[in-house]
Amino acid sequence: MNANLQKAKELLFGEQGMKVSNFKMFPGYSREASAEKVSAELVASLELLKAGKFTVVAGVGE
Amino acid sequence: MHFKELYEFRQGLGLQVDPTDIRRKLRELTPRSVMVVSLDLRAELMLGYYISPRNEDTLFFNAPPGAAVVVLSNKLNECWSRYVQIKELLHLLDDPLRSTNNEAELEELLVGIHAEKINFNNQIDSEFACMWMAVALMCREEDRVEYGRQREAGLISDLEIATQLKMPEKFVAALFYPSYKDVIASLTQK
Repeated sequence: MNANLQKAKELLFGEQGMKVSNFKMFPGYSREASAEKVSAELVASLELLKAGKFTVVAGVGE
Repeated sequence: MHFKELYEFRQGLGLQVDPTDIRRKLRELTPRSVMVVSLDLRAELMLGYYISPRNEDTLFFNAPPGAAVVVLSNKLNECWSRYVQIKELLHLLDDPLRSTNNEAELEELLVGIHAEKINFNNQIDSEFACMWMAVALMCREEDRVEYGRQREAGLISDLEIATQLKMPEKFVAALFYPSYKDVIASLTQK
């Protein structure tokens, strides 16, 4: 199994992770996208979330 | 049945759907609150995603306890951003059987959706259902019928419809698929 997929699994479902109850995604437009590439992108973006490097589009209740 | 209520609510809104109205209605229909954020996400790989926490103490970023999060790529134009946000918000309505809530299901989703021939399962079915529901929410039925008439007569292009509705041109054709009404009837019966 590729390392990034394993890392994504740990971040979303692992003991030290978010323990999410549901994850869904909108695939990108590249026909060259693979589970491995997407896993790497997912891991990178989850790290951005953890680091607070995001812009709020709509807060809770908005 | 929640989508039926949302679909009927949409019919009373303006020509261009406002994602804020959809979020407000979903707050009435579902117990889970939601936060929408955008960040650096390569749109060729992912346009966005949805995550919901299992309990109140496991999200390690600045969302209130229990809130779901919709993540959007900050590379999207307004039309795509609106559409992706609405599609991901619709996962608030996911049947638990269609949730991706363990490592094996995540692998099935990521590998299955990127396989040369998509391997359908409950999780991927949910992705397609939400794409259809989002298409339906982009356009009121009365406008869809009128656009269909004009489109058939060659009086309007898909790009013009997309511009007027502020939705991605790529999905305009879906509004006029012969199966459109059957698909929506099926989704509003669930």
